[in-house]
Amino acid sequence: MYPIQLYGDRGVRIPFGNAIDRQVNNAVHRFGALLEKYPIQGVSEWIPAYTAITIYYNPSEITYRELEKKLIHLQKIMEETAPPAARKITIPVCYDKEVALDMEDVAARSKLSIQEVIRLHTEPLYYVYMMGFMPGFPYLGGLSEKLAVPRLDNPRKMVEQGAVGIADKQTGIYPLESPGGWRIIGKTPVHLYDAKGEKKILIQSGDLLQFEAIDLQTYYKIEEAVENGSYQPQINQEKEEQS
Amino acid sequence: MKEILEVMKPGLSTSIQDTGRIGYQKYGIPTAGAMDTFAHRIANLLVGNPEEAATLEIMLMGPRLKFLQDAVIAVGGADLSAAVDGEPVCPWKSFRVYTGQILSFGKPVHGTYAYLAVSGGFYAETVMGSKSTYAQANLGGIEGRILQKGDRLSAEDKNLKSIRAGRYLKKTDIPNYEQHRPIRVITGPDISAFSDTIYQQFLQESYRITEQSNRMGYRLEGKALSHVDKADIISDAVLPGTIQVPANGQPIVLLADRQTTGGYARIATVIAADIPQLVQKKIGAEVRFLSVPLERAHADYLAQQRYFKILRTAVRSEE
Repeated sequence: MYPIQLYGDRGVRIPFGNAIDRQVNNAVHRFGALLEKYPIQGVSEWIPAYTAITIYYNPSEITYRELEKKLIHLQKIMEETAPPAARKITIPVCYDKEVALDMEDVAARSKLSIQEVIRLHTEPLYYVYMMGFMPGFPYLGGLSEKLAVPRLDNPRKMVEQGAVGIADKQTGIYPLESPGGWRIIGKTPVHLYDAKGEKKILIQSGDLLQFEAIDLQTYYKIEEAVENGSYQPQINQEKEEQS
Repeated sequence: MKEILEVMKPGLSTSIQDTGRIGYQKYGIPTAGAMDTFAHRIANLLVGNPEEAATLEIMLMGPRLKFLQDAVIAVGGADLSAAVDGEPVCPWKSFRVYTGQILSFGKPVHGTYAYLAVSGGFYAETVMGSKSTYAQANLGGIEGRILQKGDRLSAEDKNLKSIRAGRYLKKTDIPNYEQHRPIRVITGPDISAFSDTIYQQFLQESYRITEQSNRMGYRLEGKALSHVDKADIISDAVLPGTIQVPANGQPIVLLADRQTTGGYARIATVIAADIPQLVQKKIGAEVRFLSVPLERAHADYLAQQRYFKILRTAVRSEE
């Protein structure tokens, strides 16, 4: 059994481990899926993170004792059920120098050719540990250590929506225009976050992401399709290999 | 839906808020919503709205608003010297305004955030279940931003005429933002990041609200709180009222526009019933914290909910 910790007077937190680890994080998402499947009256939402899930409740709808009992029950169900299949989402990324503002810099710092940077960046199946930082931003695990470059000394005042960047051991995508210090190596025409669309957020924690290199021409084609609503992101169900 | 008022002057930071965007934090979407949900809810009840209806949140230096039609309105929360055509208005009381009249705000007297409710509730597009403005991501409200000169706001068109004016909050129920009672907290969750001595220091010292305070959080300043080991934690969820302590040892209380996760050790979390008291404090004010058991916090939370229930029933029985 995992401990249930007090977090303010409207939250509880269940830690499933204390290190950034796929197994630990999988438990976080499995528990989130169970909260979705077996709704608890008085629980309005939950926030999965790297090692723990935080559950937000309304004390006028459920007492702490009742909540604790239900969460222990869900932990028992979790032990008895198989983990669900993960989704694999393919994200087209254009690495052309037109949009890859720091590509030459990243290649020079990592002592690689631009081709090798692209190959190393598109090779892994990235794992979404959690969402946060800004709407629709995925914290990804799986970046090749060869591509780990530090943040910019002077963050940009504005990084465009869709920019794909690297900061130390992390790679990520800017879901919206924002100031930022990640070194930009590409750009995706796909919207991770779309306030106006029906499906607001493309990615969820526990997903697998694959970057697919596209040329500038394809980038514009997809961008147009995204604009007129005809673009369908490529999402597959995948039996996840436990690593 | 009818245009109800025009913004002649926007004020320092005036935005449409409701009780927040619930259910999307797992995707990294902050809740936003009214900083002082108590004042927001009461203002709504005074004009016959559901508590979740959108109000205008007005910070310190208020706007100048011209009414484009008759309405019943109420101002709750901070006393920012609201006046209609120059005549001071009674706070925490609903009253009728007429087409062409001007609601203005002047010198801030008590508190930081005032809430203007109009009968029917302000209209804004509902984005992910809420009308709340979250300016950092251009979400909700009027084009996802704070108000600008020339904006025309609409009200939801719900039996506007049948609403009676003159409802008020009993004097004894009006919150006193000047009182110096401590802000109550539940210890943790990262209590192991601090020694007992440091936690006692956190509860005994007072901390000043600095200029770098806003809807995201209040940055406090005082005797530094040192960590046993390090300030950083593996990024984890943060809640309204979470007090995180970065490496410089100066606590930050996270509020309505907070991000969904944070990376600094969390020493304590302000209880729900005391968040309004905290957010209404002004820059420069001293804050002291008191640790309470969960039972105490829940008893107060339930008392507040019962109070709203009584008000709701009273409002309904009039109609």
